[in-house]
Amino acid sequence: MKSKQPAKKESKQVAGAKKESTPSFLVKIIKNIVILFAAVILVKTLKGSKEDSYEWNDGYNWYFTSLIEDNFKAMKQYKTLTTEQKLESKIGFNFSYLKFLKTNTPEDAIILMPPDSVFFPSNEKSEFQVFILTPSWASYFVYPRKLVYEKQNNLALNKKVTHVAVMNSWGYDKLSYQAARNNKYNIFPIKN
Amino acid sequence: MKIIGWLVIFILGLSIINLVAYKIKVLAKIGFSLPIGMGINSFVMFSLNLFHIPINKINLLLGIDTGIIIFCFIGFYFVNKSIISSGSLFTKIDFKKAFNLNLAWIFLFSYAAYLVYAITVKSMFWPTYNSDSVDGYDFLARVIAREGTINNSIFNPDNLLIGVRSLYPPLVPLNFAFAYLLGFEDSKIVVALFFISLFVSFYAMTTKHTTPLAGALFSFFLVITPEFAAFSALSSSNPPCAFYSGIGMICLYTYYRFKEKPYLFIGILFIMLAVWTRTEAVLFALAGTIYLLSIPFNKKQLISVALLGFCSLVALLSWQIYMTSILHVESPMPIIKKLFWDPEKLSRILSQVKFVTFNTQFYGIIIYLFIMIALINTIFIFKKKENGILLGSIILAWSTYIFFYYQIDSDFKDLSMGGWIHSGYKRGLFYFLPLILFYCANNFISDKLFKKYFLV
Repeated sequence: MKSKQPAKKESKQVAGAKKESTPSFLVKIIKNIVILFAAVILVKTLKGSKEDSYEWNDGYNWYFTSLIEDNFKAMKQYKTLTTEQKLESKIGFNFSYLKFLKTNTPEDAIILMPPDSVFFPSNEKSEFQVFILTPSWASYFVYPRKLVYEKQNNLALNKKVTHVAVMNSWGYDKLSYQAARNNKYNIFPIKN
Repeated sequence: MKIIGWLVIFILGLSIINLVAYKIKVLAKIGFSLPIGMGINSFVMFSLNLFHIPINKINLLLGIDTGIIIFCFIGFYFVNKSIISSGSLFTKIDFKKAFNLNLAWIFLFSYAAYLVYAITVKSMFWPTYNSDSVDGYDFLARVIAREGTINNSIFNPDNLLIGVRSLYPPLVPLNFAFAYLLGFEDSKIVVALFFISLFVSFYAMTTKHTTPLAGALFSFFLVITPEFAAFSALSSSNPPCAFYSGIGMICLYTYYRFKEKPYLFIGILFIMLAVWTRTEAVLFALAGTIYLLSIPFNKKQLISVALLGFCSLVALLSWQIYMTSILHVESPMPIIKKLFWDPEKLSRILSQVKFVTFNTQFYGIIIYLFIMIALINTIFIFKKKENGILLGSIILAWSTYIFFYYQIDSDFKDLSMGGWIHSGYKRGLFYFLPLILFYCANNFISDKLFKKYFLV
């Protein structure tokens, strides 16, 4: 008899614990709705809106508006663009110019580029961005063609130049023949 | 070919996991497979390159990857003979436990999944145009895909075209090259796959320690971190490194907490791959040893620590040696190799670090949330020792990371082009995000909230 009593007590405790750990269906529903409500409020507060953004959530506001929403709009607007057109829209004239060099030269071309002062004349606004002056950056867009910049002082490659990227009046003197001066930008083989 | 190629990489990763860590969670296996596959694939490409075998023959690469898969299957048969014979090869997925369908979970998880989709779509729509990649990883990848070797024309001393970012360890450029070889017009698919894998893996690992609702909430915080999400839609090596270092550390912590060996092997592999992605990730090898040394010390622990150190060193040194002896270029990091004390330099670094770290435009409220939770939990640090270890590992890794910048040979006065802290450190903080959010989900207070009051 004595040994049965603690067992009874234990089983009562287990039953009580079971009762506690399995809340009723109604409690579950209410708890579900309350936590959902808290989650929605949290997300809404983090997001903010274009008109209603504070210093602490400006990053999240940028994320939801610019990175997500505006980007979906842009993708819808530009869905017919080719990869090259997309690059033109992101990189600007630098890409258009390098594409021009690429499409008008053979793959093994070694192109002599104008000096920095021709890309960025001191008294004029340039159409280019400074990246065009970085050989490794510009070479990406014309690869496997090679670009030769004067500042690199690359004697070995200078001797092998096959083409000259003529700009304004620069570059004609590098050619071994008279070329037509009809365009602002042009690319000519060094020998006719 | 595109789908077949990534499927082979996925199966390659999965077969490696099944060979060395069969007993880990199914959802974690799904999240881990592609990053492990890509890591192994880069080792294959690098090894072939060492033997002067062209690495731009896609059929050869897929053939070798398939060979490794078959080898892993045979190995799996011998290692897990008892599991196969007992018929318990396929573990049942407890969907109720894994996804605990409550309304808040459905809302947070589905919203986070939608945002991962949105970032992936953005990534796939725009071609590579960020200068880091154009003048670095992606250029190197394109040239590898065309010329079939890492030592290619951009390292030609007659026309050296290397940017700083062409000299990071080769995991990212090799996988970018692999994407080109599969016929992709752009290599950004690789970063997108890492971002998806990080979401799945982080959720899987967090829910191993806490409730699905906490997993969904902190996975949501991870994918909405503004700077991280923006970079995951670009072409960069930081998000892949964030995967390897963040998830690697979580795996090592899981081993420390539950003493489940499969997580130790995967953790060590991830830290090794993190170093194989970016050299500075070697600091996680140091921080990871905290977990291993916190377990009662014995001979096996010593082997684990040695294995972690050895694997990280192999990844670190193999690339350094290759750079200096084959590519004949120096490391892009101008590190001062002796210790010194310069309080003015340290003060300048710390003020820039403070500006970047606490900038809500970059990391939202994550850093504030982490510090707040850490401060509250200091009261309970002795009640849950493992939380203190986790926090200690984050602090150690973070301090080492700042110390690494202190050792760079720069006075930190020039802020043109962003400067070291405003560009490098800012993106390097991505590696800490999974670990920080994992801590936010796993501590005394969060346990009380999510396992008691928010349990539906």
